[in-house]
Amino acid sequence: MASASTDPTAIDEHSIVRPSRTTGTIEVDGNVVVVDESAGRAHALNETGSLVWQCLDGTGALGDLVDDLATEFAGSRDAIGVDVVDLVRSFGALGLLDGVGPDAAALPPEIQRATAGECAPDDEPGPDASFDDRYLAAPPNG
Amino acid sequence: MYEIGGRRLGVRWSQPGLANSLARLARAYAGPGDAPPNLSVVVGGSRGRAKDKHHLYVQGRHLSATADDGRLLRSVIRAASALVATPTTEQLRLDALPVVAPDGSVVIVDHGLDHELRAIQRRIEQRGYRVLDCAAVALDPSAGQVVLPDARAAFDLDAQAFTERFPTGAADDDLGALQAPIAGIVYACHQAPASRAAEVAFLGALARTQQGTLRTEDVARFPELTDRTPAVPYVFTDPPALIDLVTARR
Repeated sequence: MASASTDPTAIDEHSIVRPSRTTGTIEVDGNVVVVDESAGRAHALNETGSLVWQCLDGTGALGDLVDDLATEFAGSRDAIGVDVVDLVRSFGALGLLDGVGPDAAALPPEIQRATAGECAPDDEPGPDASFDDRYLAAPPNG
Repeated sequence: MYEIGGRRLGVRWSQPGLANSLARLARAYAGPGDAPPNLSVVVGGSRGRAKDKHHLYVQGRHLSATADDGRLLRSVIRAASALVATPTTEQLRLDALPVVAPDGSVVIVDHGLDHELRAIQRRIEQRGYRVLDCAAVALDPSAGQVVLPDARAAFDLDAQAFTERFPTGAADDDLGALQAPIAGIVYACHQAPASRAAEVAFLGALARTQQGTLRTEDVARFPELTDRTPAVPYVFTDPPALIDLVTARR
């Protein structure tokens, strides 16, 4: 299990992760919408993102999930491994995983409500500027 | 300070004149007190025949501006009554403004579009639309209806005396209860939603609580709502004409 406040970039195939307790999930036309209740945001995932999100149950390492997906989709295990880890790191950077990323509850409410861009100085990228949005059907709303 | 539905509500005024007018006409006025300033009014001054606009802020956010005294007081009364209204379990409270169409239906406009909406307000009023200055709007997703409380009753307003002193204009809020079908929802977003899930994610932000949090069960009500009600994105990167979105025939 990822320890408290693990950096999202530390996530690898050995990591065992699960959704934060302050997230909820709804399904709309086969795609998942992850609701970050404490930050007041909702994120729509595409099919791939939805599939991976639904597999994050905190019981197995990401490598096991990669094995399953490589078998299921008969794809390159290495490529799938890179994509899955990138995706799960992105979830972590958004504060959607238990014990990963900034502790949103410790932030003042106005910071929680602000978008990443509003939090960052103009000349620096926002905290999620490196976020790979290939798996999001839409960017995080604010 | 006003006492509405058992809740104390602070209204802070920059000048006493209009504050006293409202206090005399509203039996909900509970005298001066130390309630937090839920509403703040900056009363516009006069320079000869020119008159500055009054500005109304609700919980620190600018809600409306008008040079008309009656319209300002209507905004205060409507905003305050909507602020203290407690939605029922069937209702969803949205951070949005209701715009009443000439046919009585209501277009819900994201509060994130306040600036754009105020820029076209006069033009849509000329077409028979009315913007109700609510801090939040309650709606019933399963019925597809907006539900607003009777603001006059909330303030225990001497309606006759109020109307004589501040006559209701054609585009003014009559402050009555409203239960009307939702004609559409216009919401702000950074890019056009790529899927219905993305649309729900964008719309979900409208259901944020006053503390800035979001409840999954509230977001889960949007698919049902958008099954019956068209939701139209206003994409900031390629903004359409808001007036067309608000006044479109649906």
